Amino acid sequence: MNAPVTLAEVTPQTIAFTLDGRSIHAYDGETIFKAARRHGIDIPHLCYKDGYRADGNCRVCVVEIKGERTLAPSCCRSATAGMEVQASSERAVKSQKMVLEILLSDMGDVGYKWNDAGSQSPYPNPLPKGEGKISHRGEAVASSLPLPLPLPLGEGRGEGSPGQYGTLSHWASRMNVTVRPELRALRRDQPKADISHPAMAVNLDTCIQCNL
Amino acid sequence: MRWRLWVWHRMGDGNVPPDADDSILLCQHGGPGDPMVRRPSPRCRRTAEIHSMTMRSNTPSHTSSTTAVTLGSVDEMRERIRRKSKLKGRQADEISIDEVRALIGLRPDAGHRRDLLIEHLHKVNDAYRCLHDRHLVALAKEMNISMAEVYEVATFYHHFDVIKGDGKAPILTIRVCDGLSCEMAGAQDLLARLPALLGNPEVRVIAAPCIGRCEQAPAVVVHQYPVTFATLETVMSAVKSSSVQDIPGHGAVNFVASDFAEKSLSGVDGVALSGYTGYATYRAHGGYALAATIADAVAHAAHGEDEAERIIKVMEDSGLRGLGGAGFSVGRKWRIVRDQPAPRVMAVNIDEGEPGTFKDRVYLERDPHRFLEGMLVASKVVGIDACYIYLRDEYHGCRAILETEIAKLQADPPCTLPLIELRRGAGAYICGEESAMIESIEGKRGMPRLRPPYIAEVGLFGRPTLEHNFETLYWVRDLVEKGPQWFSSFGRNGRKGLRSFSVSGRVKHPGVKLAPAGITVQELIDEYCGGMAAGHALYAYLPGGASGGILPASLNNVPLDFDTLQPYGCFIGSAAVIILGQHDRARDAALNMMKFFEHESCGQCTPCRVGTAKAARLMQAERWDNVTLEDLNQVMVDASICGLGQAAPNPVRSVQKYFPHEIGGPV
Repeated sequence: MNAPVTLAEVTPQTIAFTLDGRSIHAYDGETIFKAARRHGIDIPHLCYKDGYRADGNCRVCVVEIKGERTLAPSCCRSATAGMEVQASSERAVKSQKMVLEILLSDMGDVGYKWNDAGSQSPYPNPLPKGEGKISHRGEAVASSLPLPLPLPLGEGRGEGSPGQYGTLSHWASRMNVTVRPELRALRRDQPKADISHPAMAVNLDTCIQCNL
Repeated sequence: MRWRLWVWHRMGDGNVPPDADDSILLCQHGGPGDPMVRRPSPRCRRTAEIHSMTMRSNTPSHTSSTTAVTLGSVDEMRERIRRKSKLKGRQADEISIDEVRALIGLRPDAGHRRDLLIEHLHKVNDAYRCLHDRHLVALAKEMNISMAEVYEVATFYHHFDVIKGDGKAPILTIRVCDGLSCEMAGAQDLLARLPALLGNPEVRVIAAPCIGRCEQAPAVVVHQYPVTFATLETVMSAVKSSSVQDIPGHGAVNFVASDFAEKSLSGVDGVALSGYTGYATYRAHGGYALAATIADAVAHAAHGEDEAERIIKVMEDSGLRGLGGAGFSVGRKWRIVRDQPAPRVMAVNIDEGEPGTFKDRVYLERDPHRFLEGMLVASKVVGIDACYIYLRDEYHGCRAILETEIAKLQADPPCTLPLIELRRGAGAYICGEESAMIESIEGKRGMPRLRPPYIAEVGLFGRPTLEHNFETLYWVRDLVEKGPQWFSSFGRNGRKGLRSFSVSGRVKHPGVKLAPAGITVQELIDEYCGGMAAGHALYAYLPGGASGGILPASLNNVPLDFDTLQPYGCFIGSAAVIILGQHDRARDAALNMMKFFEHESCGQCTPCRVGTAKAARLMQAERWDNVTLEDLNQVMVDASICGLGQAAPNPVRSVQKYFPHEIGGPV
């Protein structure tokens, strides 16, 4: 006898809020980010990924909410009725772009993402056979280069200008972010690739430390 | 010598080659009736592997009944078999498990509590002066949590030294505070000269972020023993005398904080304390009478609500605000948490890490029970049944006092007590942030949580949580006993209340000054500190520790209180006032702060993790790149998760605004 008897019982409740001046609807508890995406508004994001818990660490998806002192990560913040959100205000965009810029400023010269648009690997030459091989004990056999790890098709692909840092390059080019020389000059000392495991290699120099 | 491995195929003759090693020849690939077939064993499969490898490596043209291939020594083969027969991943060895059990005890029926991970790590770290990775593996097994969880926590906190493999821990660690006050008093010189003087590479000398002894600068900690007003000689003699523990004095002194209203607290010469107010002394002077009365009244069904309401009203009328830095109204906070569903918990913040702040330590090492009574009153009024006290690890003496005194309180309780647990930090400034502290009490890395939900609704262990700074609770008894007017009767320049200023730097008598709110820095120096130190004139001051910004001497008449400094881009925070003289530079102070923030950023969010690092580099240039710095400032203020990143740009902006001549701007 628990079956729903009216349509209202199975229809999720929605609330209305404004995003960049446009009134949109969100389901109860839905985040600003997801509601925006359902309405065709793509808020920049890096550490958010469908299927994973949103952590709100990268801070690229920050938006301005009226009445709040600081910006809020749209991937974690639920929309509430009447909330006035600005995802493309000058203040929000400034932070979004700065986060992309400081992340990019620490990246190495070459990323690891295959660039299908250019139909070649980001490496100048494919590794010679045997290079980068790892013995069963875990020592690198012959190569000082870390293994290139082609990533599965991700969001950075096929959306215009995929880049060598995957999604980071994608959003940087979409938002017209380039690294200024002053910050480029402060590039961090790159962490070494961890190739201690026979089956996995970790290239921490391209990690954005999303903490996922 | 390498052995040759003989693998022979069953070709009918069944002869074993005379020099074959028997241990390898375990498996015969014969039929069921074959006399050479031995009992099937798990090893059989592995030998078959060797066999097939051998087959592959030999051409089929071999007609001989035996083929010889060198695969390795017998020991290597045995090692391989042994390795493959184990579970995958790092496994705990028996010795390490026994060692860990000896420290943390046998596993209780319900398993070890996950939230005690940091406490357990402390036990191991104290016993071995480091955390060997084998112990981490054993601890993970004993606690039934993943190795990654243990490792991420162990490597997050500065006071845990994770040593891999056969690495050795230093026999002694000397921490030289390089906070601003200690740096001005010569910490860098100590850091540079101590290693050579010690002449022992196994004694480690490292810089430590502010250890909360700024009035005794420079301060050094030899293992766990603080050396105040440190010189090379006093540090060396501490090392030689192997004083490594901070042992508190006796508990027979009667310290009454309110007697020090509008006075200086610390002695001017920094002489070691003779003792503190212990449980018996505190009770003999009327202590815990209030807590007992309130506990009785609140428990009374008919009047309980009224009594709770009365106490909350006292808090509201007194205007008491959170003294940890954020300044949230105490009465309002109690009301909010009280309205949340039970069970509620309390978390007390004694992670006094803001550079320049030492007031909590000064009160705690004199009078721990006034605070404990305040905590009891709050727990009764708000309806709390568990209190967690988080004490920074640097305060070893205070920990000894609290452990002793809480035990005495529990042995002879004045009223029904809530659960009281003392938790030990592990060297992380970020754990002074309220939600990071909660994470740390839960035994995790001290990474701030995103809000909402606020911790008053969903806090420690997911329960509504009342979180207070130590000093806030410290004043509760006096406010209730003396009435709210007592507290609000103090004040200058239109401000109300008392503030415990931690004054350090270039003043004659640094220390905790229990001065009226709204006092100006000039009045504070002249009336409470005996003026500036010899040879120094006021040049600049930090009104609120590392995050509160820097003000020039020309603004020496600004009232110091919550809300009065915002127009100047500063805030009072925990009222840590650091005074700079004419020989100091504001930019050096700002750089010291930014390096501190970089060191202490938890690394969770990009603006703070990367922004503080970049800013610290930019601030070392003779001429600051103000455009880039301001862009970094903005993203840190707007987009950081917590107050650390949001306040980190304050010293930068202060220098840009008030001291442009120091950074290549117009004079």
